[in-house]
Amino acid sequence: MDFDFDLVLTSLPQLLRATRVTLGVTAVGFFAALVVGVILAAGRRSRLIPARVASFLWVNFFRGAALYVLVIWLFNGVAVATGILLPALVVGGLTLALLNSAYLAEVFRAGLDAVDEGQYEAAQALGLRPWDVFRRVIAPQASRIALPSVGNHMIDALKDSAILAVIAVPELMFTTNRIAQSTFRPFEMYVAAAVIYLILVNIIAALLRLVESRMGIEPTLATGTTLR
Amino acid sequence: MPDVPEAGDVRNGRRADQPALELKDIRKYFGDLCVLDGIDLTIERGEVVVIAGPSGSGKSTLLRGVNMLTPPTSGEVWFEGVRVVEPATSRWNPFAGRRERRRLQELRAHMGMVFQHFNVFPHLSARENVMLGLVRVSGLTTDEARERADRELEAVGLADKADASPAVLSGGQKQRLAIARALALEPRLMLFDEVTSALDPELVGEVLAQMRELAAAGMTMMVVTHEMGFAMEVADRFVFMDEGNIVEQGTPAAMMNPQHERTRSFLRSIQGD
Amino acid sequence: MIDYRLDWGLVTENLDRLMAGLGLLVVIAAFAYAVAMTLGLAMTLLRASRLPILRIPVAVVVEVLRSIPLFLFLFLVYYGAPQVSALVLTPFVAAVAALGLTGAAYASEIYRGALKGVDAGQWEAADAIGLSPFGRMRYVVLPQAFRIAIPPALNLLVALLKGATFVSVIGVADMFYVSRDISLQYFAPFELYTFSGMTIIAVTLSLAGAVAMLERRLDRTG
Repeated sequence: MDFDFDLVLTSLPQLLRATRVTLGVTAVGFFAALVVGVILAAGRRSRLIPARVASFLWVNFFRGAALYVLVIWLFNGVAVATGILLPALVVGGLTLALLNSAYLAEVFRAGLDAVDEGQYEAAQALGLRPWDVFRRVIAPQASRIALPSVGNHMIDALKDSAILAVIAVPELMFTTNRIAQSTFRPFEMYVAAAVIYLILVNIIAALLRLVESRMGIEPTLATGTTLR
Repeated sequence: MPDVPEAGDVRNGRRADQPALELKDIRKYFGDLCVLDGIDLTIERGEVVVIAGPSGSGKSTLLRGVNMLTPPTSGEVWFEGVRVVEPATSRWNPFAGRRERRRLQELRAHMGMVFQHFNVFPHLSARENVMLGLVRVSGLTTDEARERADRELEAVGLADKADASPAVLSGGQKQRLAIARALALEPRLMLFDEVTSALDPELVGEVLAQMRELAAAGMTMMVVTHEMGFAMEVADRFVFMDEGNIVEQGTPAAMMNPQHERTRSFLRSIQGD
Repeated sequence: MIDYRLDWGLVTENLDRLMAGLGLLVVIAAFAYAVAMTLGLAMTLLRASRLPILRIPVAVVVEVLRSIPLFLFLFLVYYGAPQVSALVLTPFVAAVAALGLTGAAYASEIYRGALKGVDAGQWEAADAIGLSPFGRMRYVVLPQAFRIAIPPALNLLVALLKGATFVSVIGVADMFYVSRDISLQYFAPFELYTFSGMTIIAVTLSLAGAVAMLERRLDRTG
């Protein structure tokens, strides 16, 4: 077995450029998912029936959806039927955001549920407005509880982003495929990409541990939540 | 519709002729279970009222009804002549009860509450615990609030713990912090809900000392407690509750010789512990 | 812009092919699940070994498999393996292998977590009543560990099913392969992908819902 290191070295600049796309689309999609996830978690705990039903349906639909299915449907099906042709990068970020918003909504909901009832009572007894109760008292505690799971879901999102290659988002997996096909050296290229993903996952995990120890939380070992 | 003054009346010190707190025919049901069976109770300004009774007698529910943490099923709560109303809620209309909610927030700021399980905010330092209400409710600037918070912490003997996280405080210290947090908003009524029940016996004294000091300063206090020594010494009036009713009430001296058998057996039972 | 007319007739006409494709997805997930649970158990036992030479390589493999995207690993197995070995895999076998191996890494974590989840006091109590190491495992630890492992183990099946959805990229003729095939022919991507997408979401959601229900029941009785 001969391993063509030179090929890996010469393709490295391309791979690293593509890695920037991977990180960019993951970061944007995940950040949007964080925002929507908070809103959905609030919606699920709301006393308003429309808010509860809407967030319940949203969360459970996207929790059941697989990324590949969703991205193909949006990019090929919906785009063709509606005539709205968005760039692949936008559809990719959107898909990551939609799926992860549902997962994160559940994470935040669990975090909110874990905050002691007495904290709400004490905050209300002080005369704080509902927004301040949430923003100053509940959210800071819930986010500490949710942080390790959020980190794991971020790793999931990074791994998921590889699937965006199927709609030609020029991220790491897509670029690796392209080089592998043109050079007939798939093994070297996929191993090289695997090493890059491995490094990225470990960087996120290390950052998570750093934030955790800053916040005085027991550091966790993150490698994602489940098979992606 | 009775004459319902605006909450602003309370802030502006009008209606000074009214009692601090008036509870009229308070009833509370949890499903079919009757927890409060028509309670009438008036607390005058500066009065310290201790409420005792066996667990399940409804005393905590009554206390929590005053600031609507557990809104009564029926009856009226009047705070300094202002009706305390449970805000209407709707499963469909997000704006339902908006005005009542604002008014309740304002009223709550004038009623301090201290809980059995402290409920200090674990993500904030001791000083920040006190500052939160000062900044977000009283509208002080951060600098003013910090100065004020330090004074309050000093008053409860926690000046050296201002920067500490509640996690490193003892139970007694946490409870004194909770008292400081409530007092910072200059309440005119303090509600104490079994505030020493979760404390190790050797830490009870420091919290009771704080409450004694507060009573001596003329604070109106409604205190649910099992600490009979404290009650006898500090209370102006002693109220004994059982099964959702006030069985009897009177001065601590009068309660040394209770009229009712239930009161007698309750007092005997807690002499034990 | 072309006026796009919906033609759901294409879905009903090709229902048998689409359903056969769904069946193939389920079969791949099921095979992969069997591989994952068996191999995962072996990995757990090796990682518990006292010999570093057994323990460390397995731990590394588990860590790597858990860190790289399944999508990438599928390509590595299908296209990479023939380049460096005599192994030429059919798309089906490559799919089962990639899903099964990655699944095994997660399964091994599930087993490990379940064994750890049994309170240390239970091990001690078993020793205290004089059980042999085998008896301790068989009668005290495993029954409790099994119970802890059930919900995550079933969730792994759901994850494998979701992971199986993209095996058409290496040419497995599953539901999405069929969908693409038909829509390329008749230009009806919306109808076909909507149908396939909704079908697989319905399957994963009902499976996930059943797991959640079981979990609640175990919580109640546990």
